[in-house]
Amino acid sequence: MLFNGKKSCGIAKDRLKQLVLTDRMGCSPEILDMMQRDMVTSMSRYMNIDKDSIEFSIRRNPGRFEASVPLSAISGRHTF
Amino acid sequence: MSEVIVITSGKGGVGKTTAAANLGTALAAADKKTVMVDTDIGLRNLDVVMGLENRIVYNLVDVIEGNCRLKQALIRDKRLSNLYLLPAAQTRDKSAVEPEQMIKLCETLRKEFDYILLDSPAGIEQGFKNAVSGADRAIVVTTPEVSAIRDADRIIGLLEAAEMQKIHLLINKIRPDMVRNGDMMSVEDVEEILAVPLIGVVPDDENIVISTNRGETVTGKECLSGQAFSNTGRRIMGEDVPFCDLSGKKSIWHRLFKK
Repeated sequence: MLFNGKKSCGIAKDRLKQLVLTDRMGCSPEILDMMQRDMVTSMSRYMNIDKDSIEFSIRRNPGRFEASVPLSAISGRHTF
Repeated sequence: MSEVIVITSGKGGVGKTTAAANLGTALAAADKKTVMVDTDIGLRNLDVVMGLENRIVYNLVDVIEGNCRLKQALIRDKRLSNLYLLPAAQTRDKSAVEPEQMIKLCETLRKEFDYILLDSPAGIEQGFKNAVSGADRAIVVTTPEVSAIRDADRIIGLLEAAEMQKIHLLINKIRPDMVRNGDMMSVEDVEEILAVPLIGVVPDDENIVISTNRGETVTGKECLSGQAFSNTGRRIMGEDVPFCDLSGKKSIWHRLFKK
């Protein structure tokens, strides 16, 4: 095998999503990274989030920024 | 009622000109009087793909500058009597045409033709703007590759900013075997990212290379790509045609007998 590991289709799709996101935001990948880090830091203060599986996207028509933030465990439900 | 359709892509080499030639053939074969306009001034190609390169006397810039009448510059196809080509100029550059002149030309062509297909140059510069300015609708051609889809996304953004009424996607050079193996993005993957309605899916087909060598189109011939372009032509005319399955999933027949 010339290439090992993850199927290249999935890699292509992940790279493309990131590219399209920065293109649509009109910003550099570094700025996007900074924004993602800021969002993760502030959300982590209030929730247990799965930092590695967060997905951001921008939709056109109507323009809309979406963040999918998986929770690592919904535990410790408050009982009053 | 006539319709002006721009065929565009952003990235070069994804098959814009092949798509323009084959969709022109498909529409003309369905009895629609069709003209294909090569707007790639300085790098004309559509004439070669159609095998009409030896018949060029006048071109798009000659018509716009008034050096000849429109009828003198139109070249009739070798096989279909209702299919015409308006070739681009080879010795000029993109600045030879202004968007207003393109709009005027399209208005003139509307009186004569049912469909006017504008083959746009690659890129997002003047030539692209010229081609888009006169069009009612756009077909964005892409292949299932990261760079081509990224550029298609830019183009779709620009078309939306220009308030293009209808934008459709044509996915070219799909390899069902690679999609099946997880080594090529599927039609659904591309649709999900670009979020634009699909008008055609064309498989990667060596018949396209062979037909282009001969200066012919595949449309109307017995092959998968020819069938795909015919179907796309019917969808352009408003027909509801189901898409061929190019997902690469094996049919029941395959699964039962060809394990």
